[in-house]
This record gives sequence, C-alpha cells and structure tokens, in this order.
Amino acid sequence: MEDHQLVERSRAGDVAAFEELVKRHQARAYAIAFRLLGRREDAQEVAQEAFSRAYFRLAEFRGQAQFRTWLYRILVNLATDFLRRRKPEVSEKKALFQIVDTRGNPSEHLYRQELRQSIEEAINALPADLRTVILLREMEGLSYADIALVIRRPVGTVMSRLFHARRRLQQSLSAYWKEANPDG
Amino acid sequence: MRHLLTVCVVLLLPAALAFAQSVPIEVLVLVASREPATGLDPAIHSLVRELQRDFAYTNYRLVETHRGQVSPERPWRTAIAGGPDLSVVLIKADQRRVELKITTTGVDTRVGLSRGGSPILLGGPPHQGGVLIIAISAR
Amino acid sequence: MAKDCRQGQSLNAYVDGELKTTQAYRLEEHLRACGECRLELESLQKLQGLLRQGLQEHRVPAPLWPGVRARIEQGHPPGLLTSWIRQIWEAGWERPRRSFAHAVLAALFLLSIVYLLWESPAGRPPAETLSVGPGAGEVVVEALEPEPGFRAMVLTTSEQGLKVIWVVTREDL
Repeated sequence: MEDHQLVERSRAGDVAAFEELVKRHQARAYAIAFRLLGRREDAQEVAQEAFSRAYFRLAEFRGQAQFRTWLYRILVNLATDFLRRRKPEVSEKKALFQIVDTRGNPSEHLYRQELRQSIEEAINALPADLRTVILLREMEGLSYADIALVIRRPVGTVMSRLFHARRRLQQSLSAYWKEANPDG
Repeated sequence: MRHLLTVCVVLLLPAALAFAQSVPIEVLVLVASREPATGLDPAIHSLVRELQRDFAYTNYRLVETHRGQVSPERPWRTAIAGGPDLSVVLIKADQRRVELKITTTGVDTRVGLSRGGSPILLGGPPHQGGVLIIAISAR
Repeated sequence: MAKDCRQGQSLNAYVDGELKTTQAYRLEEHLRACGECRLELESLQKLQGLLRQGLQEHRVPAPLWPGVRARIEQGHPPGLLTSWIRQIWEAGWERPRRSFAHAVLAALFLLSIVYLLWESPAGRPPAETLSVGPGAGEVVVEALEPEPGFRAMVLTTSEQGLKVIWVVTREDL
C-alpha cells in the first residue's frame, strides 16, 4: 500500500495504518534526529514526538508533498527547538570510545573508522542550519524543493546553505583529499 | 582487657587486610600474526576464541606471563616482550572491582575491571611480524 | 579551490542534479573553458563520495511505535508523563526478554548441578585462569588518552565480548 493510502486510512481513524507508516519511516526519521541531536535518547524522543504530532495534524496534510517530506518538516522543526532548549553537553572525546566491530586487520578498519569519525566530527562541527541541509541532501537525497519545504525556507536559502556547508566540509576534510586522489 | 584487645585486633585484622590497597594482577602477553596456526596454549584458549570472532589473525602465541601486585603508592612496571614498558597503578579497589591506570607506548588509560573477571586488552604495537596483545586482569 | 569564478552555487546544483537542461548545457560549456571550475567540480564530487562513504546508518535502538502510540493516546503528553510512560514502556519491553533469559539460566544451573553430581569432584584443573565472555564482569574504559602521534580506539569482539584498546601510530594508518 502506498503512503498516501495509509495516510487516508489513518485520517479515517485506522490506527494500524498509522502504525505501518511509523514502521516504514522510523529508521530514517531516527537517523536524521540522531544526526541532528547526537544522542540516542533525544533522537528517540524527538522522533516519537514528530510522529505523534504528524498524527494529530494529518488533517493538514493535503498530499502536496510526500508524507516523508512532510514528516521531516515536523521532525526538523522539533529537533531545532530541542537543540535550542538543550543544555550544551560537555564535549568529551566520545569519538575515541566508539565501539566498532572489526573484521580482519584492525589497522585497515581503523583507517576507515577514522575517516568516518572525521566526517562525523566535521558534520557535527557545522552550525545546525548548515548541518540540516547537508544531511537532508546527502543522507536523504531530498531535492532542493523538498529541503526547502522541510526547513521552511526558499530554495535560494537551501542552495546558499549547501554551498557554505560544503565549503566548510572541504576544508575540514582536506586531509583526506590527497588520499582520495593520490595524484594530487 | 588484654583479651578484649586481642580479640578486637584479631577480628579487625582481616578487615584491615581487606582494605589494604594492594591488588594482584596478571598480565598475559600474546603475539598475534597471520602466520599459519600452531598449537594453542590452553592458558589463552578461550581468550583467543573470543578474539577470533572479529580479528583475522591466524596465529596467537603466548610469549610472556607476568604477575604482580599493584597499589596506589607503587606503580607496577615491567618491560613487555623486550620492547615497550607497561605500567599499572591502582586507583581504587573494593571487594568486587578495581580501577587501574594503565600506561604503555602510545596510550594512557583508566579502566574498571571486575576482580576475577574479564581482562582489558591492549593491542596494536607491532612485534616480530605480528602485533602484541596484552591482557590485564585483576584478582 | 575556485574563488574567483563565481559559479560556486551552480556547480553545487549541477552535482546535485538540480540544474535544468539548458542551465546544465551552459555550465558544461563553461567547464570546458574554466580549469578552476573543473577542479572545483572534482572536489565537490570527491566530497560527495566521502560523505556517502562516511555517513553510517544509526539503527533505531527499539521500535518507535509504542512510544508514538502512548503519545497519541495521551493527547499531547507533558514532559513528566512522557518519562513515566517511557519507563513503563521500557519495562514492558524488557520483561519478555528477561523471563526468557531467566528460563535459560535456570536450565543451565540445573544442568550444571546434575553434571557435578554425576562427575567426580576431582575433575580437570582449570586450564585457564582468565574469565572471558558474558557474565565475566564488565570492563569499563573510563578514560583514554592516546599520545601524540598515536590513535587509540576501543573495540569489542562481540556483543558482550572482550574490550580491546587498539593503538596505532599514524604511519600504520
């Protein structure tokens, strides 16, 4: 069944239909929430809250965009609020404690893990508005128009933020440039 | 009165000893490599089985065993496999758990261990075509 | 990186497939002539590759539906109730697993008693003094400071396996 059919059913009071929607989108919703908030419990709470709000606002959803995009809009809004209210956490060297499953030579995997870590750190170092657009673009593959819907800004703002986000990431990850391209 | 005193001392002595901050530790030094497997020392049998779940080394040899006592005042030090130094300091201990500060080439760490429980492993320093894996446990 | 050529945003849009056909053609024409922009394009594509490689999936730790349903049934639950509900929800989630674990442990306990009764007490001496595996006591890495020039990571061999602090020098990477 398509999302929009599930939405119709949910609107009509079919809770099982909404449960199916949650099941379909929970992984991605959680992923975005986690990347924006950095903490598991916070991501779970915000994702659940986003779904429940979506439920209560189903009447507003007219199918002008995909359900997913509309959900993300609620989610990103909640996450942004949450971030503003949350006390800044003391930044520990959490990256060092990342528990990793390795197969094979740890040194090889450590390189990959280090790369992944550097990327995560670089993304986390971005200001929230830039981080949101780069995640929605690279992780979710949303179009500029959809990103604009989600962050409630014009497409021009999306393009500008993406431009600046990528500039900063290019700088923070420049160490990996040489390795990605040995001939310089 | 004297009897009472003796009794008190006798009763309190074990307690005092229990609180005496000195903990026995055991350090196993393994070399892991990609050489073909040879016979496995029974002393590291289940340790190696666990390592084999995720590390692709094919050969594990127990090269050294060290035993010592650690206390807050006296760090326990030894050289490992003719190479790096290893130092262990006791930070705190109770009947069930200890906290150790472990320092060796490249790293300084503080770990909590269960007495008589799982060891903490430090690995990575290259050694004779393989890598060293050091298992530290507390009694 | 291209600083003078002001095609920055167009290049981004091009990499994202967001340029209309005519705009794309015009940009491609420009790229033929402009080495700086070609470099920048390459750089953006490389970045995209790195990001795709690097952005790991973070799986949902537990299904979200029970929490969502609780919120729906509550209307809009205020903060305190949320945590209360969450506690109950988590307890309900835990219990099925815990009782199964208890059953397994009880079975093992009974089996080991039977085994001990049947076997002679003068059994094999333990070949190994190390405890390994679940229930052998939790190892907690409280702090970890690599020395300059080294990188240290905490690995675990399996869900409840051994904790390994792996140290590499930057040359090994």
